[in-house]
Amino acid sequence: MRKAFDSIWVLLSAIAYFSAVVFVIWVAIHLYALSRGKLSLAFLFTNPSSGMTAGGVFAPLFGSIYLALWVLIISAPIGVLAGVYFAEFAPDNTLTRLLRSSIRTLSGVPAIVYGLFGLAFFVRFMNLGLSLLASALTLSVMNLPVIITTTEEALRLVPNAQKEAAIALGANSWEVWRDVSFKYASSGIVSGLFLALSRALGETAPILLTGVVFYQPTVTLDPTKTFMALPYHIFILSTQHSKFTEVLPIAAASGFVLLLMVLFARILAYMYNRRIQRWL
Amino acid sequence: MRNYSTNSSAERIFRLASTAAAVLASLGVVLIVSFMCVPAFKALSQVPFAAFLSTKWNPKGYSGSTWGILPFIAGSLWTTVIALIISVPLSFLAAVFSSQFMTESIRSATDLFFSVLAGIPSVIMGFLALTTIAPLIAKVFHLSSGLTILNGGITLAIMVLPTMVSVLSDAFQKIPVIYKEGALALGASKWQAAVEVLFQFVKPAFISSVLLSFGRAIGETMAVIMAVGNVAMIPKTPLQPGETMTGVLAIEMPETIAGSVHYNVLFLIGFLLLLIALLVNYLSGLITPKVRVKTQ
Repeated sequence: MRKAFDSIWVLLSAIAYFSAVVFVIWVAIHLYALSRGKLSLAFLFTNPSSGMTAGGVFAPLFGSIYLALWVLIISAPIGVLAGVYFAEFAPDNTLTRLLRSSIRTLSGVPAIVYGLFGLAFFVRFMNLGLSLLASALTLSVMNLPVIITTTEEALRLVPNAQKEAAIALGANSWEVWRDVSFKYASSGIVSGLFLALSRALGETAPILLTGVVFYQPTVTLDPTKTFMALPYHIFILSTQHSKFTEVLPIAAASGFVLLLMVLFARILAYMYNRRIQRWL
Repeated sequence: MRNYSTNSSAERIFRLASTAAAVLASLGVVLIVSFMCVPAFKALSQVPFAAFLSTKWNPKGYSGSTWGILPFIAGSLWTTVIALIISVPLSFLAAVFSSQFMTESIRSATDLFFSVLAGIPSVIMGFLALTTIAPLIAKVFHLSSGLTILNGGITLAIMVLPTMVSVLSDAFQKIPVIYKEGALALGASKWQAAVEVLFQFVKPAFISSVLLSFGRAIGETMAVIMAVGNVAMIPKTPLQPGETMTGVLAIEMPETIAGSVHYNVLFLIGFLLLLIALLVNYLSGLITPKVRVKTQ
């Protein structure tokens, strides 16, 4: 009796576990089905047209990728170096412990709060205006805690014996890092960068207040200009457009493209480091 | 010795650069807190505190504005609590299954799906809530629109699931195998061992995972905007529309004039969200050290 009762629970827990797996697959299939054949190579390389009821996603796609590039250029060096500092050089005192815990805390701060900060600081105080640069800086600030924490944790996993052996051979801290720590920790660091990339591509709330616009089909490399981005494009199409049923397939197709890009970055992050904090 | 001098300068530059980066990152922390504080405190000086505790939000009223933020707090709490009610039991079951009944090789493949689930952009979850879950809710409960608090809660439940499952199943896996073996030797079934014996060890991680999910759910923005209908009222049942704290920020901020009272009050709401995030992190930090001590 007890055994049968237990089996039911085990079955239920298996269903709970695998329903998450099924859900992920279902999302991709469902978006593809809703897109009703809109997806094609041409969809990626044409601009939205006729009041966004036709055409593709070129400008938003370009904006998202270009934005993510800026985010990585800004946040990767600062984040990795700061992670190195906290793992290798930081003295163990109250100040560094406080800083370390506040940086960790920041990874739990809602994205929209970063948006408000970006608006108050980058857009207004630094006078960057609504621009790609302001958005990239905002997303960089949001991503720094992730990169710093993953870098620090990857470096902490480097075996001390290896470092000590290098020091005994006369290496200074730079050489130890270059020849020992970096080789050990590189996959963890790269994993953190891919995680940051996936967030830069997929987040909407921080860019919503700092420079994304709903229609600007001319693509520019000038970071001081406003830009279109894929997640915001989807948001606008599905909530602000008057002909919702007409644009639904386009929104779903855009969602499918965004999903593929973000998932690709996350799968790479997972492949480089399976111990990664999976919920970030 | 020429080599030595270039190396030591490389070391100095490396040390300097990483210190500078850490200082810059720390400066970011200070800047975030101060730039959220200033407009929030301005709002507190411009509007009497009691005015915030009203149920009417009307920032652009002709005969004067009302600044009641209670509808948004209610909306945020409703959606978050519904999300937790749905996701806590589900993720407990999923975590038990993943840590006790799965082989390592399958788990490493399925864990990827949880990582992927955590990574689905919130705007896509919002799109699904709007186009798929909402019509379903409208049909089941015979409503004219499915854009309700319940819709937001269900969407958030899916979004916080990977957080809880990861934290919990990691905690289960850290328990020394001897406890499980002991329970099994005493005649417990695998399920009894997990729920009645091993759960004692993961209680702190369980609480911490609920706290983390609470923080994630209350801070989620785009998915909730697209799901709950955005009507600034206090919902009496989950089948009514509402608006969350994050929602009002994302919707009204782009239209406000910088420096106006409306702008400052919105920053006050943002500041509240920041405080909630800090509090959640602080509380889960209080619990985590105990997890390590108890499971080692």
